[in-house]
Amino acid sequence: MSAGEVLLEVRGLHASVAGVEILKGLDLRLCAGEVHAIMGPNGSGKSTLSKVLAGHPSYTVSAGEVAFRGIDLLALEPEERARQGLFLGFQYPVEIPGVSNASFLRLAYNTVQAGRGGEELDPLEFDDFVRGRMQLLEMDPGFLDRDVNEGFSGGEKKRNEILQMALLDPLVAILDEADSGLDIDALRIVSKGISALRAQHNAVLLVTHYQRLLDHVVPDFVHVMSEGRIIRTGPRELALELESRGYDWLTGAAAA
Amino acid sequence: MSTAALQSLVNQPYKHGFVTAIESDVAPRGLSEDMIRMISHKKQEPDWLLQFRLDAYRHWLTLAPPQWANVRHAPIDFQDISYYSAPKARPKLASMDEVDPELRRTFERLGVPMHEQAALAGVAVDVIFDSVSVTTTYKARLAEAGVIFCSFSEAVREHPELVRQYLGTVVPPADNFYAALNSAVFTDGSFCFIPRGVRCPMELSTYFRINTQESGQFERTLIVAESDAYVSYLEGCTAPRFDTNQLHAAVVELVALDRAEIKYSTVQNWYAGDENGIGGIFNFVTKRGLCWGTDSKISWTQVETGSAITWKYPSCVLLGERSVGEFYSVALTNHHQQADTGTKMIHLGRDTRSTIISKGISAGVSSNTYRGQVKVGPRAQGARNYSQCDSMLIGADCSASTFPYIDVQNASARVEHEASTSRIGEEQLFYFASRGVGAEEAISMIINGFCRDVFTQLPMEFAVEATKLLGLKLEGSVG
Amino acid sequence: MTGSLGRRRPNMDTHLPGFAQPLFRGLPVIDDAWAGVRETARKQAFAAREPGPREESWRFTDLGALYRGEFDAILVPPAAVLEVPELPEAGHRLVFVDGHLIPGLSRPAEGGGLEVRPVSGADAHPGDPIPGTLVPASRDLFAALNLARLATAALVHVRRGCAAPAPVHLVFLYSTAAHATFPRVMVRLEPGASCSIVEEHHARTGQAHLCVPVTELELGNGAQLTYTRVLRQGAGGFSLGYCEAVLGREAQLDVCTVSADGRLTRLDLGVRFAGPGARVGLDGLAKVDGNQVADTHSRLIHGAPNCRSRQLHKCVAAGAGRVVFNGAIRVEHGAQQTDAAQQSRSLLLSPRARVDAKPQLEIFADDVKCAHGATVGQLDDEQLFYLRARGLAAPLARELLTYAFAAEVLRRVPVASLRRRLERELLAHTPG
Repeated sequence: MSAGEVLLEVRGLHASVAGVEILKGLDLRLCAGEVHAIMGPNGSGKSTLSKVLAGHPSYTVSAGEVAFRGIDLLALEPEERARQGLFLGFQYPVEIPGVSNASFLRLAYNTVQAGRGGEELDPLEFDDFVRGRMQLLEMDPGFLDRDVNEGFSGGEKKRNEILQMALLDPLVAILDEADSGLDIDALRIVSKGISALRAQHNAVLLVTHYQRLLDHVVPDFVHVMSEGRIIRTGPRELALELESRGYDWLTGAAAA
Repeated sequence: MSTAALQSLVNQPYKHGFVTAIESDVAPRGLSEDMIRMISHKKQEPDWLLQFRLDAYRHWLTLAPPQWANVRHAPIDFQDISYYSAPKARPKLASMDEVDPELRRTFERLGVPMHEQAALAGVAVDVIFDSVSVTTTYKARLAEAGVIFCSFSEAVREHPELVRQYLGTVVPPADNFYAALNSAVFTDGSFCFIPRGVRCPMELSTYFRINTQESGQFERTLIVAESDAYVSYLEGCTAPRFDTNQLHAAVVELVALDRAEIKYSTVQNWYAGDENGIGGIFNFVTKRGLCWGTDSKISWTQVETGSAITWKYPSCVLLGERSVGEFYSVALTNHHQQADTGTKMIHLGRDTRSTIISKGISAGVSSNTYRGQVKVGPRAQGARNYSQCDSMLIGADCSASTFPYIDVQNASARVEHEASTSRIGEEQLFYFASRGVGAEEAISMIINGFCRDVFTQLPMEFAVEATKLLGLKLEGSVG
Repeated sequence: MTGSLGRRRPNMDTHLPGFAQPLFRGLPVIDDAWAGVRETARKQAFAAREPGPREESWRFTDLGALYRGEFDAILVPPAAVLEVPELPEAGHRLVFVDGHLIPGLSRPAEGGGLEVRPVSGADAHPGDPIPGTLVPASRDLFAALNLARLATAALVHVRRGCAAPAPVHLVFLYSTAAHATFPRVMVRLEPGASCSIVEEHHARTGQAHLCVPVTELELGNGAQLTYTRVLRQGAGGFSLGYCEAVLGREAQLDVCTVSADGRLTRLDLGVRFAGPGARVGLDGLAKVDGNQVADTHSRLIHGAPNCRSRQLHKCVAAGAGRVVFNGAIRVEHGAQQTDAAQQSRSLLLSPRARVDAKPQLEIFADDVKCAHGATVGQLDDEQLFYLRARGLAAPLARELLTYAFAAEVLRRVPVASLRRRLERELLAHTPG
């Protein structure tokens, strides 16, 4: 993959949950090497977009299309999307008591590797590999022995998401509110992790309510979302403007 | 503070224990087919209703009183009860002013207004004294909205087709021992009918009063909400202080059609007996609602503070798709009171939901049992239940039991039950005291906090009354 | 006297249900130290009601298939050589096949601080526990049958202050169709003693058979016992088990029960706190498939102050399997400072699976902390999506979550090799 190649193309996407339409004709294009930020007030549909792209079964797509490297993404099961290189960092990572983080991470890694014809790692090889990545995120190796997200603090959960992203090395990473609930140190670590994974062959979509993450991970494009559509796209400065002026001037304009 | 002092806080005199000196027409004790014919005749009932009673009576004769409840009492002699008692009054009342002044004073003393002008704004009241309804307020205003709210006897006379259509459909006469007895001998009660699309413009309320020592009270309430109708119904009960036990065996049936909602609230403060367990009402009641229509909702809220024995499980049969059942309960027992109360949520339709919140408070040597059943039938795809049953114990000689039955026959169901116990201990009271809060106030705060989830479900007028009632129970001197 | 009638044979009373009648046919009457116990129990069995759905405690346990069967007692040990489940950590062990001790496979310990030995009425020591002390014949028909057919029991006795150096392994194998066995385990831990016991029941036949195992556990003051019970009764097995424990002051008991398969398995588990400051942990896992039924009845009696109990019971129901959990906690008058918590979680994996849960709290003391919770549900959709979003195929994700559900209990199995064996056998998928 080279910089500039279109990785994800969303056209006229309409989606609903429990009979309520949330996305109402959304367009978005992500190219290799780019970092995009989607901002917007609560309820604008940001998280819905993340979940629809990852294939959450509760959401129904009624119109529009999504091409992932030219493939019809919407026709794929969630696990197939992951194996193709799409990654969703969850806003609320799910706790799975009874499954150790180490087993889970290796299983996910090997599954995704197998899907793309890569080499699978045995437990010892994987242990070395994962510890390296954990250093990057300043994570205690003790994380590996705990159950998936169980009893993790908000910051620990978010770091665990970024660790998974680092292991799975996706082509498109969608990070849903990766900064919510983080204190300043955790924000720095998470941002460092995201920046380190930023590369010419991949693209990152940051879904966020506040621009403080964008101080650390500088986006190439900022999109403003409102009522299920992107109503404004601009350079990184747009985020600063939103910070000082709020969303009303934009959403008001959209309504007019 | 000692436990004894703590105990004294929850002991309060019963304020509704007086007897009204009023001439009553009381039937001789005993139960027989002739007695049932007499009741039916006195009420000038149609034949089908007499037949309903006789069928129920004949079935009742084959039944034995239930033994499974966590309550103990001497066997009841059903031949030693009078099955009919009515205040002797002018046969027909032309207006409120014709109500016997003695009777009117009784209800004023109980805080139940019988004059519309003096009434709580927006509450229509049906007043039941022993076996008969004495008055119903605001009938005219309700009639304008199309709402029928009257005594059961009047409904039998004026709307026999409606009564016949719904009577016994939710609680069949053969349902259980006390329901069968009620079906045979019920004397009066309230009837509400909310026609299609009508939101009842005011709270409906029935006030029940037992006055005669030898009489039982067997009222029958039937509420029907047609499609898209809404009604909130309140019920209050008191009885004088006698050193014998009176039997109260009521049946309440609710029917909610498509998108209808019925909210049924009870503040039960029958006489509970004295501190040695002498006297008090045996409150053996069958209450059940049928969510017949899709998206219908039935919500039971009860504050049970009275009665020597309470045996009562207001239930919901969730037949309609997406129908909702709720049960919110506070049961306070003290001295020798025994309560075995709870609910049944029977999920039959798809995507039905139910919530159970039960708060039991036991003091003295009382026994307080929550008993509930959540059943999910094979066709109740997607059914959901959440139950929370908390107990609070005051003193070392009372008991609290929790018996939830969960029966799930559909794999898509989710059922959650939680229960916990807590106490008001010296440490908590000391903590309050160290912050300048007296024990009485502290207990009241703790109990009100404990019951908050239930009190918020009560209509405003009743929430005030319930809080006051628990406050009264806690009234006393701190040592 | 003409023509001696010999000893009077047990009377074939028609009150005894059909399935149990062959059990007393040709049964030799032995005059030994336990003869009185057997005779009393036999009378109780003949007088007992046949448990049925009318009784609250048997309401959900359909015994119809059992009652339609007929079960013989095996009077001579079978010759077949059976595979014994190994437990490398274990020290002493006793192996029974169809109720008979197999000396060649057993490693008893006699004398000293630890005794692990078979015991019968003929060779019982004066200080040995009396059978039926904790699960008396008056309990019900099955408890009575166990005592009436009392033969050789497994005894574990740890002397005051002694610690068993390695887990004690008690193995019961079942190899013969249409037979009935009445295994018995008696454990006595004197004050300050400690021990870990693994009791395993494995059917080596898929045919119908009946097993009524009874375990009686006595823990003296300050004694510590870890008791693990594994039940693999095979496709045709009926197991109606009883386990009753009584704890002295500051004793500690950790029970872990795991049962899988079995046409019908029931465990009546009772624990009584008889002295203050004692602790109990009860963990259970029951797994059913096909038309199997697993029924767990537990009753925890806080009869003394300052005791603590923790219970976690998990059920996994697939196919048309049915699980029943009836768990009572009773806090008696005066048992202040009780701290009791119970959790019951059931996972339904198939539309035809069924769960009946009935937790019960009965509290007669005010200064206590008691809680129970029960949930019935399916695998969590959000967890499933999370795993799929990480590339796991849906069936694998489901397996992993089912594994995770059961793992919470299996992880508490205190013997590592047993834990691994159960994980391997019970859970199709083992990640890592």
